[in-house]
Amino acid sequence: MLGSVLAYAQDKKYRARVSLQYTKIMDKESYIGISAKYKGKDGFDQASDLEFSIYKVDQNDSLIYLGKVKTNENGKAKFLLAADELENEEATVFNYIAKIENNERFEDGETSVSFSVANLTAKIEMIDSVNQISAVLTDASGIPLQEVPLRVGLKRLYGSLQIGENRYETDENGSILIPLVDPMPGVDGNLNFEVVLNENDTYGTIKAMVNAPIGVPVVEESTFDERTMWSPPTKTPLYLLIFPNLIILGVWLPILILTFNLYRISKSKTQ
Amino acid sequence: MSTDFDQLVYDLAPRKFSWKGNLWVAILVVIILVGSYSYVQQVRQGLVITDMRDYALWGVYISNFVFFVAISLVGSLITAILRLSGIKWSTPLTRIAEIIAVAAIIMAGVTIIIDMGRPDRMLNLFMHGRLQSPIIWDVIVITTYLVISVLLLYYPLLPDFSILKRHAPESARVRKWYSGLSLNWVGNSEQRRIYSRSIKALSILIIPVAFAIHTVTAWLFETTYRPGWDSTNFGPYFIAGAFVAGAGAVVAVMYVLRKTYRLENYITDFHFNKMGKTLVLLCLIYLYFNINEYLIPTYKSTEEEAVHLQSLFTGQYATLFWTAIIGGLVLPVIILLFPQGRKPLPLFLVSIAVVVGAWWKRYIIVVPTLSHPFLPIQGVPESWRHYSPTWMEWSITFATLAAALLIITLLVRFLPIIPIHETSEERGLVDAAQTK
Repeated sequence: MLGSVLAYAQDKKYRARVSLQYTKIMDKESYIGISAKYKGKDGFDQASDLEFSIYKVDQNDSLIYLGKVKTNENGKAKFLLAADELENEEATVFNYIAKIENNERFEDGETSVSFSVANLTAKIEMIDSVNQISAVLTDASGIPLQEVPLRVGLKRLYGSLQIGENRYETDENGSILIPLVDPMPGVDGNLNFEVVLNENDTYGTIKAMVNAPIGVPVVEESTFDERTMWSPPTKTPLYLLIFPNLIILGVWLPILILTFNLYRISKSKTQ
Repeated sequence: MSTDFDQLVYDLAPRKFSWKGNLWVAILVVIILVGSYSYVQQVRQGLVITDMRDYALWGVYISNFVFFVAISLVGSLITAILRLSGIKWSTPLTRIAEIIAVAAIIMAGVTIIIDMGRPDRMLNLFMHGRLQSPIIWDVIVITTYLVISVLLLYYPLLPDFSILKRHAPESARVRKWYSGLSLNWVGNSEQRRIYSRSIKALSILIIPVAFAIHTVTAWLFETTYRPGWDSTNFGPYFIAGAFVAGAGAVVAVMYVLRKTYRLENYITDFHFNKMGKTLVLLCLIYLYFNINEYLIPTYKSTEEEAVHLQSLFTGQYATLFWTAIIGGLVLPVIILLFPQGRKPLPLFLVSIAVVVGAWWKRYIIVVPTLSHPFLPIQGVPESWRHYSPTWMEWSITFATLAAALLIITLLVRFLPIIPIHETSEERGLVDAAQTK
């Protein structure tokens, strides 16, 4: 899956280290992920704003130009494959090449990736009063893939929370069955699980998502609208408005009276 | 006209400064000018001219602020508590205490503004202040205490102003001021009735406010979770310390004024003896709180507290700490236990030690704690780990102290140091002019 760019001597140009990864998210998209870096003066840096030309290698080994993609500031790019790109093909192995061509900062080079198509389905079902997540992995022709490690996770804001073991191997039916015993919190009780075949040498990365309202609804504990010790002045707790102000009034009222008494003294001259 | 009364007025009426007085004022003004220059630099360049950084974010300014607040408490001690207790011997000291209290609380407010990086935003405190914040409580209570202190200084002055407008050896313009400030005081029954009630009300009112000002200042520290400040004892601990500092300040000022204005007939050895005994009692109470404040954290020795206490007991701040505790508390108690120690000069020297010790004690409370936060100090320049006030900070701090002394000096110049009216009443002397 990894390839390195062929080097050609060119003055003052960097040699990019590029890796390609095929990823398929079931019922959503397939893409080739590109990650590029180079060895700069102070070690490796991400190769940002680096343009790649993407080609498909057909069965006659001729290249079919698909398009261009540029890396972001983290040196990563994502080239989406058209939905019909991997369908109705007689071939079982697909080859793609990413080329650096006529770049001002980097040497020309190319990296290739090969993969076969597989499918992964996942669903939540209730067995013996316990929610279970089941997943089936098959190849393009629907034949179950055995003894392939899958990972199950719960999608969270910044990543995936592992469910159960680190990996589960598919059985002779290409399936796994994982019980979801522990209660898990989710917004409105919704949980987004993912079953992942991760960076497989043959099939790349495949993810199947499944959403189920089986979580414990998250109760928002925001105190934004409440009167708290950390609120702005408009939302001061009532007791802190009432008692200190009563004390202030209790002190300042006599002060005002005592100040007025000075006036009374000045007017009592003739009495 | 009573000769004794005239002598009393002659003895107690404010006098023009001699060359020594003028020199004293000049020295204070020079110190204030140097501090003002530094403050202008601080306003122009920001707090970067200080050594305060992310960790030691309160330094010598806040120590100085707490000191001023402490000193200001003396107004309530001498004036209110002793007055309400019916103790007569304190009469010659009340005016001195009130003047010190007003000067100290004014400079406490000024010092807080000095500590602000952007004083032009001070109005925001009032516009956007949150009642949840102890800072706002402090602003409210300081303002309140200032007003009450000024009233408590002014009320007993009414009869004195009336006497001075007739008898003071001053220019016509100054007498005119006295006349205006006397608010037509003639001492009739109605005026006396309002006067007595008002002073009694002020004496009662100032005590909770005085306690509040120091308690709230203590809460500024207590509500911040840091080693050395995480205590429920801080309110009374601060009040006890304030009484010590304030009483020390009164003794020091009364000695200087007695010497300068030859008031030996009014501020006698008896007063020094009484104040010496009072100081012993206050020091012992404060020592008790100190033992509480340091013994229990030492016994528990949680990791962060242990580091903090080690820096006080044997580390970087040990010299200051032990000097303040022994020199400013223990030795004064020992010296003042002996009658000879309560004579004017020894007591004056002891009171100076007490006041200086009290100032450093505030520094010890503020700075070492900030140098030892619960979270480790990481990823900052080495200089941020330590705090040592810059010369500009010192010059500004000395300027505030000089300003407080200047306020006291100017008030002493125009106000009778010892209440003339009260003293004449106590001595059975009558103002002949008033009886006409």
